[in-house]
Amino acid sequence: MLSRRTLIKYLGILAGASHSVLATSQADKKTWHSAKYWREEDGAVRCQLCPHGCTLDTGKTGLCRTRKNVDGQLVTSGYANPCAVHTDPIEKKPLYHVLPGSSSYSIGIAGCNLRCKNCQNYSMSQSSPLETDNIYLPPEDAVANAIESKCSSIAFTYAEPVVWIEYVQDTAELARKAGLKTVLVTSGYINQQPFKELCAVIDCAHIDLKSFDEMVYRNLNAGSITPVLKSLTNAREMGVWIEIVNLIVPSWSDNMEMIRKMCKWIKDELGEETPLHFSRFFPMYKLAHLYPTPAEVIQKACRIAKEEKLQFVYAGNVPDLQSNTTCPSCGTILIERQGYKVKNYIAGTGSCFSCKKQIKGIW
Amino acid sequence: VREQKAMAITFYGRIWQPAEIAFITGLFSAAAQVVYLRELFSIFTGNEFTFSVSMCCWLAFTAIGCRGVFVKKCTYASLHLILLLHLLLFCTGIILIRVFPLVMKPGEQFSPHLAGLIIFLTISPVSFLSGLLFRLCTYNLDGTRVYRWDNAGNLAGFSLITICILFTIPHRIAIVSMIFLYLPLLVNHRWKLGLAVMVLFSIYFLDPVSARWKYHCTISSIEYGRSGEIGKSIDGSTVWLNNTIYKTNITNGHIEQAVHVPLSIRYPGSVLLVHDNGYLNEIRKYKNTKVHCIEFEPLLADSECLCTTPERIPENVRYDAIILGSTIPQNLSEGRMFTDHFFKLMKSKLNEKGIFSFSFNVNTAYIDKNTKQIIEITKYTLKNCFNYVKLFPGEGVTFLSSDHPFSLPDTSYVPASYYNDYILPGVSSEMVEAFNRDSIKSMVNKVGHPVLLTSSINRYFQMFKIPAIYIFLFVLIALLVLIRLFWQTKDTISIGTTGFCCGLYSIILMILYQSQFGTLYSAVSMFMISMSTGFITGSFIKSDKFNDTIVLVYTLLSLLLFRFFPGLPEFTWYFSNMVMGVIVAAQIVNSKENMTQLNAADIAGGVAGILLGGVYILPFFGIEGVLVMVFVVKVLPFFCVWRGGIKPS
Repeated sequence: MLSRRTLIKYLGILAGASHSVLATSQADKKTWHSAKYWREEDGAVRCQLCPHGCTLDTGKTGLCRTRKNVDGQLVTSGYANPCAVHTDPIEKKPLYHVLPGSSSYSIGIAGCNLRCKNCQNYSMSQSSPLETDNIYLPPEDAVANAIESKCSSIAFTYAEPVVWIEYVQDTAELARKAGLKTVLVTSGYINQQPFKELCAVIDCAHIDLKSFDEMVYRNLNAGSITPVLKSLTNAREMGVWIEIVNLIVPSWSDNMEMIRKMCKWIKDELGEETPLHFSRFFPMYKLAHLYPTPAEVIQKACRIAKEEKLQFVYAGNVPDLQSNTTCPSCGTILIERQGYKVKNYIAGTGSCFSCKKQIKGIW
Repeated sequence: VREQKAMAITFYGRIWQPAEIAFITGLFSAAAQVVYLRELFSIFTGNEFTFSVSMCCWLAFTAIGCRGVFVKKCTYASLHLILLLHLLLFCTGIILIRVFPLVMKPGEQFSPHLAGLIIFLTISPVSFLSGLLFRLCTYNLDGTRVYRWDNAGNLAGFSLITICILFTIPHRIAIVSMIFLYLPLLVNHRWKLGLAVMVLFSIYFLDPVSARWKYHCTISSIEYGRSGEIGKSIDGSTVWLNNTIYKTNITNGHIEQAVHVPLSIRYPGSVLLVHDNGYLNEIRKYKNTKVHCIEFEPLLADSECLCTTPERIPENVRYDAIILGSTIPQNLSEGRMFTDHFFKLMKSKLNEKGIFSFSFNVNTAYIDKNTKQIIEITKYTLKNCFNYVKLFPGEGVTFLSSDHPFSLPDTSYVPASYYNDYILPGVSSEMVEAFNRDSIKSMVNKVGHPVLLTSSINRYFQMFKIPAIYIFLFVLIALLVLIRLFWQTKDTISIGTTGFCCGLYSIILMILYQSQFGTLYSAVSMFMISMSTGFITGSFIKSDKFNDTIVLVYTLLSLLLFRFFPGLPEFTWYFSNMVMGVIVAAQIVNSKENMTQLNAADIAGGVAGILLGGVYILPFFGIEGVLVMVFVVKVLPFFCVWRGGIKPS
């Protein structure tokens, strides 16, 4: 007769075994690629890519769900296996000062080192590349496809590209040689050494500044603000064109005083010509019960940014609100936008039609 | 003598009879159960998975209380204490349910772990005491009579709640009435009575305030409707249904796409909108278009939206377009609008060239496996009903179906900034092609086999990274523990398997009802009333003809009836549930075993039936799977008798 204790023990073994079988069968489906930015530490591997600094024993995977210690070596499952590949308008990233009206070949691999409760792409970002349906796309194929699709740039986007930095670096290097611009859509939550190396192959970046408050960063995103601010200043120093996106989440990051502080910091540290996009939140993922950001809140935030003398302030996701680019000197509309459609823009030189003021960006 | 003394609760000199105590505690417990279910239903956003878990938790702890596993004896003083505790814990549980959303971050959903913990913390103490009180009543009275009076109390409790639901009376009135009816049991104990009265007043004044704690923003009113709890913001612009946003006046890309894609195929002369969901403002942009908006929930209907169901729309009325104001189905009440039955009903209301459309609000950059499965099942179910089906991916996925050929539009007839300026430029032809590519043959989502529900449950667990196998093992272990504890003799096995069939039958009936009518939130008490009526009636029957064979035959036949005739009137559903109650009670009261053992075995079986039926068997295998399960389980007592290896009763 089977005793209760024995039965429970057997069930436990069964659960463990079934989990291992599932994990092994998933692991078989992929190829690992050697990862950079790590060192050995007391027999384990210490990942040095992002501020989490995961210490991984053999067989363990980092918080990003992509980097793993296999026999004392750090490897990544996020290489050449995107689960999302689309041709998007560059305005969708959003990047308003980069080749307006052009298309960007956009690639996304699963994985992220943050845990944003409002993530719009959570099925990708909160999964490992082992769990998603992927295609095989080596760097050379990605570049060839981008050229074939008549795209002017190649964008690393959708989830968090810094956790598949090896693929971004290899692809971006080839893309630049082929005359394509390279675009990074990131939260900027990365250590500065790898980020500087990444910036060497990146032309422009959309960096999320999710809020200007450490507690919000911790509770909403499971991250910290300091590394993000460092990434912003370093990107600027490295000559990467940056545009900042601030998603205003009701009850979380809609404090106008905080927004004012953020605008002041941007002006002082990055310059008044840095474009700032205020984006509207729509209920998603774990914050599915929250109401969308009212348009008035976005409008108010834009007004504060203007008061703080930021020259290029945009309202994202809200039709009929500031999305045109105007000359900060004479007020002439330089780029007229209607959603993702661009009607009229400064091509080539990037200077104002009337006062000839040079507008910063990639034109 | 001690047992008799234990039951000696007096009311101005008169000794309360155990049957009367059983009646009052039964009333209180039944009403408490429904109030809890409704409160939990609203904080867990109408998720039926948590509904099944809550029911199981209630029954499991009642069974444990009934067995008196932890408390063997009860003294005069402690019986009063148990009665008082019962009352206090119930009120604390209600407040706790409302406090939990306060400790969550603004707008955050409950994870399944936390949902389980909340259910356990709030429900288990009260249900345990309910079971224990039943056991105490049987100390001094024939078990059959206690069983009968307890069920009569249940019936009264369910009736009380039903009246509150029918007249949309707030929960506080129901709770105060329940406490008031409990007070006579404590009347001779001043401090206990005083405490109970204080609780009564506190809950009366605290209820309207605490009900608002469930919402993360300021709510002006809370109403209790047929399909759930309805909250409205101060300016009336935002309406919440079961704590999720039902509609706001803030338009977005998803709504514009859901409205303008179908209406831009052919300029519509008439449109039927099923559920406003914020779509109505967009449809109003089409001048000279006749719009009919219907809501199933009376409290959501207003001057612009009529409260009715599509079945009640006159035969001769046809529309150029029908739009379902919905999003990706996450529970049964939403899932029922994506069955072949409902699609065919919609088709019957369309003109020859009419378009039927709805949208799922998902991110189309990458669709995960569960969402893909939901999309494929829906597409395949539509193809089963319409000749032409197309999908438009943008801000979510819009499904379009018609019996007449059509092409996807490239602009809208009316101004729509999101749709024209954001969505259309962002959608490539490759993307449209990928979504419309014929994939592997999927399954049709039917009322009797809601395959979509499985994917929805998986999607919910996946969001919180919980592997389905762990849930399965947890359920399995829980069942084995219950069976080991409560099914030990021939009679308890017989009654336990009957309880299993009864629990399974009841939950399947409720799920099917929800798939059919979508108003389980209000109908749950009617189901319980019918079951209790059955239990009382059955407890008067003196005949050993009500055996395992009758239970098996009735369960199989009546489930087959609902399988083949899903559109039966509401009354039939309650009546069938009542008949099941009669059969079960008749079998219990005619068994030789001790009543508390039988009651515990029956309830434990009910837990097993609800857990397996609601969570696994119906979603995965459909009604056919349920029938097989019933057959296998009910054959068990015969097998035990044949083997002769079970203790005699």
